[in-house]
Amino acid sequence: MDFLSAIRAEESGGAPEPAALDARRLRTLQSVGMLCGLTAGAWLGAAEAPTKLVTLGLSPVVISLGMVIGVFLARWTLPALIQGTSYVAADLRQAPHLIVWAILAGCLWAVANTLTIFAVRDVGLSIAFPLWNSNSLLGIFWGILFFQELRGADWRRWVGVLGGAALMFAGATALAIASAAQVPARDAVRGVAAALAAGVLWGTMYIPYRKAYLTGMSPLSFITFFTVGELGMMTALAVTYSGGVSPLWSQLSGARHVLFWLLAGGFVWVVGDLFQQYAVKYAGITRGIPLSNTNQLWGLLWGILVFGELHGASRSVLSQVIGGSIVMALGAGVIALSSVSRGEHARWQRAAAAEGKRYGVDPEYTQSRIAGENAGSIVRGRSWIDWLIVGVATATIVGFALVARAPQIALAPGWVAVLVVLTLGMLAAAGVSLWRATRFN
Amino acid sequence: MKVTTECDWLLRDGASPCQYCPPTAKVRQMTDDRREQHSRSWLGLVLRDVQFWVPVAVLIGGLLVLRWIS
Repeated sequence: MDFLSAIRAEESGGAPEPAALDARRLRTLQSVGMLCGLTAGAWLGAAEAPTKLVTLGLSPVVISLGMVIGVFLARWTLPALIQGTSYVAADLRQAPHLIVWAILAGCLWAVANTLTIFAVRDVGLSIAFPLWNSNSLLGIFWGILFFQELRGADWRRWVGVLGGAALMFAGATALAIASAAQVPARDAVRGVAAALAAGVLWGTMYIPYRKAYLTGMSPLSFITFFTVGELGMMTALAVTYSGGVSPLWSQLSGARHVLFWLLAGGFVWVVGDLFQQYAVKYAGITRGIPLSNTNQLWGLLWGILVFGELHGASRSVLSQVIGGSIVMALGAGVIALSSVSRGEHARWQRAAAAEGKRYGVDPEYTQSRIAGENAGSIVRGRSWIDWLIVGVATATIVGFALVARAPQIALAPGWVAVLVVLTLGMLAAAGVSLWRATRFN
Repeated sequence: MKVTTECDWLLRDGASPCQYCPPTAKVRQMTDDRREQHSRSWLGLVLRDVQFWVPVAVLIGGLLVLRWIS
């Protein structure tokens, strides 16, 4: 360790100076992270489609719980299929403290999601959405404050990330105003408070995300415990707001014909969220989260093209939609071009080394995983437990599909096909790139 | 500063690194015992991490807002 390294080690809490990644490898990881962010936007937007098929009349908390059940099934099935539970277990043995962080993040998500339901009820989507969409701005703040993001970056990257996020925020506001249903405001103060609180909760949820990925954990391992917090907190909230276990059970039984669509929505949402987590890991919060917030654009595309929303809307509304979409896409483009420099990445590595040292994580594990490589001691392999998990989850989904009723809603099948092909294409492109570059580490 | 190499004792006392550190100085690896000890106390480490209390405080705040609006 030379003298400069010793000073840097002192700055990072005494952790040894990690070796810098070569420029080519860094570019590859950055590109994959950005592609994951954009794919996350497409899948998170598509997740809204199945929920539109659900007939009205269900309690918002039951809708949310139905989706979270689908989310829970997907969050255990996908890791079991892709890496195997032995890989997840080995990952958790390296950094067991992250179980607490994952459960905490899941709790934050569940409370935020419930708050958005109340916010939409009280002030409508046009006011609520931009308020909770501020989560990416808060995420950027935590990234800079706690995890050395944008430190060591030149002014163009600072302007690119902050300017791009501001552009996306402006575009999202225009889209939300244009696409909002004319919901009368019931209680403006409470609605605004709920939307802002949801934004703060989601923005803060990126602290556990980044903490896990700086340490080196695979997103596939993190989500298995994230969903325990998610389902536990959502069940507690659903029981509380439904008036007890029996009323909740009877509501769920009454909704069994539409539960499949909610589960499907949850499953699609998990695919998007998984890519969002990889985007945070390889592009950082400051780039990954704004890019995955393009989900609003995709949700709007599904709404307009497939479900005929905004049909017969005025010229001013349509121009707001087109203008908002262009501004949002521009913001995403600016962020995507503000890639991480070697200097900034070196600061990330120092933050990772300090994190590993604090919790006694093997430095070799942290260093290899932040570079998207496999840690030597962890092997992949599927056992009968994995196939059991996949079998039970599949049987549950098939069971709900058998009792599901076909939706009574007008669709544009041609546009469904176009959007499905596009979304699957992005999945294939991001999945293959991620596998080639990182083996899903 | 945490001592990680044989020559860090000397560095800590303000010596020039080229004066005392031969290029062959070995890095002392963390022993398995120390790692096991870390594993046992990870919950304590989480509770002592200032960053942990930020999301906890936000979660409590969120639950209070939820209680107020519902």
